[in-house]
Amino acid sequence: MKFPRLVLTAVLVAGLAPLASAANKDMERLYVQIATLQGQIADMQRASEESLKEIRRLNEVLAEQNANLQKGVHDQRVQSEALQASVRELNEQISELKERMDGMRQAAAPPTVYTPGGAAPPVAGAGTVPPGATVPPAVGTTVPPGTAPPANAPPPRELYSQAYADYARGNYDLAIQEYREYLRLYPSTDFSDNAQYWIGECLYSKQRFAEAVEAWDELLRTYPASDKLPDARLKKGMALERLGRRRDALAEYRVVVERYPNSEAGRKARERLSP
Amino acid sequence: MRDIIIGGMSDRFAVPDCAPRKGDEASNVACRTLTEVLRNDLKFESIQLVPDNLMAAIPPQNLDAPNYVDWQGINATMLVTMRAWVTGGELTVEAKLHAVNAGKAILAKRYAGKADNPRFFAHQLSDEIMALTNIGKGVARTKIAFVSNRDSENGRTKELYIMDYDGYNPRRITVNKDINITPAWSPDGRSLAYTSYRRKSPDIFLASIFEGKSSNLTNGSGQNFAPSFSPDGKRIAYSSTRGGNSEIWVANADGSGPRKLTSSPGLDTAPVWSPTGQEIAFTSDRAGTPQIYVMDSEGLNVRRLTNVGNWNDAPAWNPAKQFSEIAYTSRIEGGFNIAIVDFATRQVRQITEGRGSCEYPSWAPSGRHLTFACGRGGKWQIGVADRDGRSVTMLPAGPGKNEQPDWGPGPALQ
Repeated sequence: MKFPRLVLTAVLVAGLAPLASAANKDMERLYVQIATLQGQIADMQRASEESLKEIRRLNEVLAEQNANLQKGVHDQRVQSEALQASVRELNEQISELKERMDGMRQAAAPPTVYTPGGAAPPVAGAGTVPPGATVPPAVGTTVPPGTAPPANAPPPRELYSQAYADYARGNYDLAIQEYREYLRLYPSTDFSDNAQYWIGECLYSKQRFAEAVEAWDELLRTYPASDKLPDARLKKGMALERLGRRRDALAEYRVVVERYPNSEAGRKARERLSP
Repeated sequence: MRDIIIGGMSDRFAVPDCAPRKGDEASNVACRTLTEVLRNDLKFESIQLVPDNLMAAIPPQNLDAPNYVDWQGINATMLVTMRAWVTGGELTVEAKLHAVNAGKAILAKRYAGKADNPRFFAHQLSDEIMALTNIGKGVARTKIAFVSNRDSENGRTKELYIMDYDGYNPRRITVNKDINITPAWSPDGRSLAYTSYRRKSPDIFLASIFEGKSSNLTNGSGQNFAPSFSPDGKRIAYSSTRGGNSEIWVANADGSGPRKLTSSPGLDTAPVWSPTGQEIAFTSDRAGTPQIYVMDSEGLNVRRLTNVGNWNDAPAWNPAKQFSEIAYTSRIEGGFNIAIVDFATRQVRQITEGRGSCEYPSWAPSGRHLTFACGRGGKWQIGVADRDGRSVTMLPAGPGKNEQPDWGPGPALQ
C-alpha cells in the first residue's frame, strides 16, 4: 500500500532535478529531504506494522500458554481435591479402626480418662422413656475394666451417627441414651469428647439447662484437651443465663474470651459480654 | 370413622370414572378432570391403584350403592366413588371412600364451589384420603414457588411464580420487572421471602401473597441473599455481606435484630434450618471448595457434612423428622446432580442422573418427595422425584427458564 507512494515521490524528485536553478537548489534539497523522510516514515510504518503483527502473535502464544497453565492449575486442583477426599476417607477409616482397637485394648487396660458411670448426669427424661423400651441395657454402668465391648456391640461409627440422626430429628432422649452407650462402649476414641458434648446439646435442646451444665462440666473434667471446650463453655454460659445465673454466665464468657480469644466461641462470648 | 386405618402399601385402591349427575358437557368435562387428577394424586403418594383393564371387568352399577363383592373380585380393598355436576357455573362433587372388605363407606364428602378449577376438589379429596392412611399427610394441595423469566421483556429480569404441586395453575407473584430470585415459603404458607435487586443492591424482601404487599427486610445494608424461615416462622436466616464478607445472619421474621452467626474468611451462603430449629446447614468455601456445613442455631459446633466431591451447594434439610437427611446439589463427574446424605448411615445417594444439570433441591412438607430444577442446552424446567430417586418427572410449569423451586406447606389458612 505504502510502496507505490514512495515510488511516485522518487519519480517526482528525479523529474524536477534537471530544471533546478541555483534558487531552486534549496527547493530541490527540500524535495529530496521530504522524499527521504517519506521513505523513512514508510519504512518505519512497515517496521511498526511488522512489530504489531509480532506482538499480536506473541500475545496469542502467551494467551495459549496462559490457558494451558490455567488448565494445569485447574487439573491440579481437581486432582488435589480428589487426593484430599481420599486422604479424608482414609483418615476416617483409620480412626474407625482406631476406635475398634481402643475398644479391644480395654480388655488389657482400663481407660485412664473416662470416669465410669457414677459421674454421668442422670438420664434425661428417664421418667418419660419406658424403661428398656428401645434402650440398650445398663446405661450408666460401664464396661467393667478388663472387658472389651461385647462382640454384638454396635460399631462405634454406626452408633455415633445413629445418635446424631436421632438428635437431628428431635429424639433427644433416644440420642442421649445412644451417646451414653457410645461412651460406655468407646470411652476414649476421637469422638468420645464429641459424644459428651452432644449429651449437653441434647439436654440444652430439651431446655433442661441444669443438666446441660452438668454434661458440659463432665466434658471439661473428662476430656480437658477436647476441641469442643470453647463451644461447650460458651453454651454452658448460655445455659446458666437461662437458669437466671447471670453472674456465673458472665464469668464463663470471660473465661472463653481469655482462653480462646480467636475462636468463634471467643467472638460470641465477647458479644455477650458487651452487647 | 377412624376404625379402619388404611395401610398404604397393602391396600389397593379402585378409582372408577366419576359419574356426572347431569348429561351436559360441562359436567362431563369436570368429571373427567376429577378422575384423572385424583388418580394422579394418589399414584404420586405411592398408593397402589387397581389397573384400568381390571376395572373394565366390573359390571355397571349404581356408584351410590356399590356391589362390594364385585370390587373384591378384582382385589380392590378401597373404592373411591365420585359424582359431580355443574349448575350455573358452580361445581358440586360428592365423593365417598369405601372399605371394600368391611362393606361400608368410611368417608363421605361434598364439595361445592366455582366450576373453573375442578382440579382443586380432586386434590382436596386426595388429601382427605391421605389423612386416613398411615403413610402421612398428603401434599396434593401444596404449592411450589419458582423463578422464571417467562414475562421478561429483555430476557434478563426474573419474577417469582407459584403453581400447584403438579405444575398446573402457575400464577405470578412479583411484578417489579427486576431480578427476583431464591424464593422461600413461610411455614404458614402466606408469604414468600426472596432476594430482589429492585434497589440495585440485593436485599431480602417478604411478599404477602394474599395481601399483595411486599416489604424490605434488610434495607440495603450489604448485599443480602437466600433467605430461609425457621420452622416456627419466627426467625429468618440469610447470607449478607454487611460485615464485609459473606456470612450467615439470623434476624426476626420482620427483619429486626439481625445477628451474625459465622465469621469465616470464606464465603458462607445458602442457610437452611433443621426441622427442630436447633441447627442450620449452609454452604461455605472456607476449605477451598464449596461444601455443606452444619452448625447450631447460635453459630457454634460447626461441622463439615460433605466429604466427597469438589462442589456441594444448596442444602435442603428434610422437614419430616422420620427422615434424618439433607439433600444438596453436588458436582458428580463434571455435571451437577441432586444427592442426599443420610445422617444415620452416612451414605450418600444420587437422586438425578442424565437430565443435564439438576440443582437447587427443596423438600415437600411430607419429606417423601423433593423438587429441583434441571437444565440442558439453556432450557430449565422444574422436576420432582421421590426421596429414593425413583419416578423423576418434569412438571408442566410453562414457558421460560424455570428454576429455583421451593416447595411450600399445605393450604394456607385464608
